[in-house]
Amino acid sequence: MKIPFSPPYIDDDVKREVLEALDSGWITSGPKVLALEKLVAQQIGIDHVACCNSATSGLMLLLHWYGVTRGDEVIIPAYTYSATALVVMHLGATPVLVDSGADFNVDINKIRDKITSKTKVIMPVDIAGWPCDYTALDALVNEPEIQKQFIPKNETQKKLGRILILADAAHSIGASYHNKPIGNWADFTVFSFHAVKNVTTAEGGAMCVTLPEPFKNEEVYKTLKLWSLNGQTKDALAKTNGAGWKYDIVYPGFKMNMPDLGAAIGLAQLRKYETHILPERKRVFDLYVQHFSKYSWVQLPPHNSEHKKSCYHLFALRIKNITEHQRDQMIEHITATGVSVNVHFQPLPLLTVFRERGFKMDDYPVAYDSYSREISLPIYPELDSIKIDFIVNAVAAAYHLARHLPLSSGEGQG
Amino acid sequence: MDDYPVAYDSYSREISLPIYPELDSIKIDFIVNAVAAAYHLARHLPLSSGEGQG
Repeated sequence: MKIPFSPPYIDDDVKREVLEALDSGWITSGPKVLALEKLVAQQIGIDHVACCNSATSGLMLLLHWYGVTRGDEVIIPAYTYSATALVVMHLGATPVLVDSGADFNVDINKIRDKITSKTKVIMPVDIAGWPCDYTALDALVNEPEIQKQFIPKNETQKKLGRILILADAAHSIGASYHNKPIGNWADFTVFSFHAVKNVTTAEGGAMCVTLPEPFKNEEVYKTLKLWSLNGQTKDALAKTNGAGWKYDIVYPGFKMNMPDLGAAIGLAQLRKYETHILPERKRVFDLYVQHFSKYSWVQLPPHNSEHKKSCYHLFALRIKNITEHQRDQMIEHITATGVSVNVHFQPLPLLTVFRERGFKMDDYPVAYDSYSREISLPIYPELDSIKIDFIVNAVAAAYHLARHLPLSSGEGQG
Repeated sequence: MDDYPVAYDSYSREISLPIYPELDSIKIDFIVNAVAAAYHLARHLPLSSGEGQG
């Protein structure tokens, strides 16, 4: 049986919406992008969402908006996708890595020690769709001692008067924290609509603008839209309107706008996200939990908390008491059965670009431990119980093979 | 702008016309006539003046 890891959700409604965009004669940024922004904002319960061509672009644009530059430090998890760090480096600033907690997410308690007078931003990441502890983060950046350390270098930083919280929520659209959707809990939150995400525009992202007073979020939204389109006062659609061709460039902006063609996919998916796609992901997640609970060698991903609700982006299984090599062997065995799996993530210090900059894996032992025992399983609506049984059996057989145990040993079954 | 007179000259007299596969000769005639009429209107010339016809 061939089971792909994360195919995009493409149904007739998605096809219809994309065809509508194609037939309209307008395929780049236009009405579909605006409709997607409105729908995301409505579902999150906020007023201002600006779409862009990737979460990476959104994160970089927002760091730039805050004036992050050479000499500044940005605190990020060691356990994340490389984009979280690369956007910091693109601006000439320094990523400061912090180890994980037991739930994959950054250990908030370890952030405090990494804060210096150069720290301008903290970027928490909701790994696998599991929310970080945002109230703890908010309390931390608002502590008088931490605020006293903060040295603003421009008017925007003076206005906020503290470290900015920029949530890398690439995985967590649809998740909630204290019964409020992710998108409400940071100064800015960035979602990813990359092809493998719960909601996709093929490539794309969305910036949720929820700054506190005295910032005017409407104005910030307009600035982000302007800066994401070269600093141009009119988008291409507005320019085609007869005599309105004349535009101005009022800021040296970037080319980060989302096309309508991609937004059409996201729109159709988002309309049924809360009612169909998310419940279906939860069904698959719950079935995995039910099946794997009987194996004592399995460490289930975080999924049960009074204050946190996952959006079930990944099923990040960890295997107890195995080495990285044995995990890799398990993946080979699972893949041989036709089931595609993945690993989230290789901690940054394992990657050449970060290793060459002096980051050492030994400094982030929890991140390494999670990584070395982790296997991400397929999770999407099309997985029925037969496929899930097949995947669970493939994982169990791979465990026994990697540990050189007889398949019939029954070891670890409760 | 004064330092780039040729660029300004080109810009100030330029109009980009539609050009794509779907344009048939009827549409192209229509576009050409629209441009010609616009020229006469902008120059305050009678449309029937024939000015500029070779």
